[in-house]
Amino acid sequence: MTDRKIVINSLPSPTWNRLKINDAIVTLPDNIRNGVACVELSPDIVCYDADFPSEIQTGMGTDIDGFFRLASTNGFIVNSGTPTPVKLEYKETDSVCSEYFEVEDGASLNVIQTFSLSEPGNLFDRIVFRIKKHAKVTLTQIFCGKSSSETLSAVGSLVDEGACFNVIQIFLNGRNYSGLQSELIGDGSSFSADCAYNVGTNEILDINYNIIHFGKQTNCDIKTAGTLYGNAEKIFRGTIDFRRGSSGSTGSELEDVMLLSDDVINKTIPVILCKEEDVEGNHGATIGEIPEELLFYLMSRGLSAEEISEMLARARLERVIHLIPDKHTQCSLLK
Amino acid sequence: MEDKTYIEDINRSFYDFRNEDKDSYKVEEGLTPDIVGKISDEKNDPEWMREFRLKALDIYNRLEMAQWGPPIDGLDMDNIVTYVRPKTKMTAKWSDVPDEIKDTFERLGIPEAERTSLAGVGAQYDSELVYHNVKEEVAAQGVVYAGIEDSLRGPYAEMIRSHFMKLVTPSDHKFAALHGAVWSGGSFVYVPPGVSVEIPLQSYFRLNAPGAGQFEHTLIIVDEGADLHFIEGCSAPKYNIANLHAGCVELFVGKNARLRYSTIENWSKNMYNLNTKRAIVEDGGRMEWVSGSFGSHTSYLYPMTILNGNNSSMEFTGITFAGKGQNLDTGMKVVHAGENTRSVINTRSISKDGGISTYRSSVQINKKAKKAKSTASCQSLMIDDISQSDTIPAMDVRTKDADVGHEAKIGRISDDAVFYLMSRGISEEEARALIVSGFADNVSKELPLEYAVEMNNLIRIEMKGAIG
Repeated sequence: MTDRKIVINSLPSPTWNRLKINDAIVTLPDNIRNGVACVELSPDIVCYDADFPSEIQTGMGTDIDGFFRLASTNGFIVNSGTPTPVKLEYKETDSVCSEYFEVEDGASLNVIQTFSLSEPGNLFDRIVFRIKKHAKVTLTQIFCGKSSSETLSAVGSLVDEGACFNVIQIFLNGRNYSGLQSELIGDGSSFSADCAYNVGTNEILDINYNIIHFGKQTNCDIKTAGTLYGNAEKIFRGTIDFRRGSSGSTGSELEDVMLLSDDVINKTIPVILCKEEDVEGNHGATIGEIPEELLFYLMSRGLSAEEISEMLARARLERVIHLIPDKHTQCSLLK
Repeated sequence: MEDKTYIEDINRSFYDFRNEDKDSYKVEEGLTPDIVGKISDEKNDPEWMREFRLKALDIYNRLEMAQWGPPIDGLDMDNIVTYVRPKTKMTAKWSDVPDEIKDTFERLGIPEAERTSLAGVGAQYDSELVYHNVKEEVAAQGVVYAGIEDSLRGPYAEMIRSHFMKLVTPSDHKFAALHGAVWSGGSFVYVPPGVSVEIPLQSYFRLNAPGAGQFEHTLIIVDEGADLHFIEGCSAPKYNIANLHAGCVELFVGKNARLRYSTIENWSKNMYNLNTKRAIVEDGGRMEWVSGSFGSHTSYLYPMTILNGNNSSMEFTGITFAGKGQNLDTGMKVVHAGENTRSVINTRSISKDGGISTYRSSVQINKKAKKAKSTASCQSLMIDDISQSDTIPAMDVRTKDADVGHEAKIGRISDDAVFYLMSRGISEEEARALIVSGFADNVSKELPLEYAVEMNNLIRIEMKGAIG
């Protein structure tokens, strides 16, 4: 049997092909098993075997959904605020998992996913949320597998009136592909993403965010920051899409990349698509090495260049780690 | 009931006059080796150029259409006439140009501009140059400004051959290949070392024949330490069938030289504008693009600069106005290859009345481009909720020793800004007009006065009504 290649993380509005930035191509192994995440769950969350939620699309695209259907979908219904986060840990190599969360009106939910493959291999996960009126969901994803492991995470959400979907992503190790789509269908709904990463030698990070504003007065705020060293390769695609009718909406996207090696490849494409006049959209990106003035300042205080690089890279990660709504998880990461 | 505030579309009636299509020769519609051969015969091409054309046609037939960008389904090459020769030969005196054609350029203000403020003019009508002249004092400096076809045989033949379609090759994309096969007309400019051409040279392109294509080739070589400002203008009357513009501009900026290339593009709304422009800049050289895009039904337009030499730099200033029925996909590309290179990009776009404006860019920093610096600012203004404005900027950085920044904003005319001006005694109508004029100011202030006036005439904003 041969593995097959599939296109994922496609830009909704592609650009010049020769830039090789429009999408990613990954190999899907034939030998894959239905994976199970280790779950820590509060008793007031209802669990069931769900149908594959194809109506909620992820940023990875629909081509790969056929592959995700190989997994049975674990469904969760959240009726009210949960005091403790739902923790999902993924350690099984060559496995595929699927989760569906239905968060009822006014409920709140924290989900923490940790992807930590300890051997070379693949891990595929699809997690989607139906976030109903005035509900609030915070999804934290921590990618800390071995450098030679490969994790594909597809995330999707439908966000209803007045509801919020906040995403915290921390990429520490491995070859990681993340495709996230959030549809702000209800008026006053919002999305935020705080993403931090360290991508090193022989590692890849491929991110595709697609935030679609349908409702009025919807808001999205995306911040990504990280460090590349060795022969790291990173692609960030972030699309803010204001559809007709999304008047009064705002969207903001900011990327800050620190480059520590001459062998890195950094590709950034922050896209704004706008069919609505009464919106405000902006994006900014800064890419480069440590500014000379800052380097000089810190070296004159006795720090070496290596210590400075490490300190600044750590600062980028720690800013986001401190946003995780779980002290235990924060502490274990900070160690 | 008072009318809601609106901004008037660009007034094209000034350009929308047409002459009867009284060509002296026209190839049949479509694209075949036979047609390409006939064009080559008409031009009395040297043998290498004939072979070049036929190879380019092969490449055109092999290449696929791009899958990104605005649709060009309305363009059917089987219905495009690729060569239309007007009933005149090229001359250096306006008095020798046939009246109808001369009147065309008079109405467009070209001869007057030449008299008052230009060092030389090339005027192309359909597929051929009809007028080309350069002022004596400029020619005396050794500046060459001539029709490129005439220059294929003569003292600059070898220079042209060694540069022609080396920067934009036929395999670059399908319409570059098309250009290579059927190109006709256009100018060759050579500025010797150390020569500064104090006042601009201009080429103006007028496409009169319906269903025709214009494929002029502009080749400019600015030698070491030289300085030139080149202005390009274009227009056409509107027809109900498609016209095609697939010109090509190749610019070679030598060591410590400077070239400013200004364009006011005002093709009619049946035009498919698939133009390719590229510059390569050597050590210490500087390339400046000033670009105003107002016309065409559909545009694919991305002037590209290769900062090949160390300490070379590029500045790009552009504005795009997409009105009803227009889909204008414009932007720029820059490749930082040398060390200590700089690029500064400042673009604006306005969309109204259902127009679609897309800013598309690529900033590439190569591995060896140490200390490269690039900053880009892109602002888009949407005038109503039936238009569309997209921003698709790509950055590819392959060295740590670079500094790249990009920012973009999209939105409508700020109510706060209007309120501020109104609180200072300005009417709402004037306030909105002032804001939009200011928005387009980035380009108009880079142009010579006469062209800034023309550009502002093109925009001509009319505000009506109460607070809406």
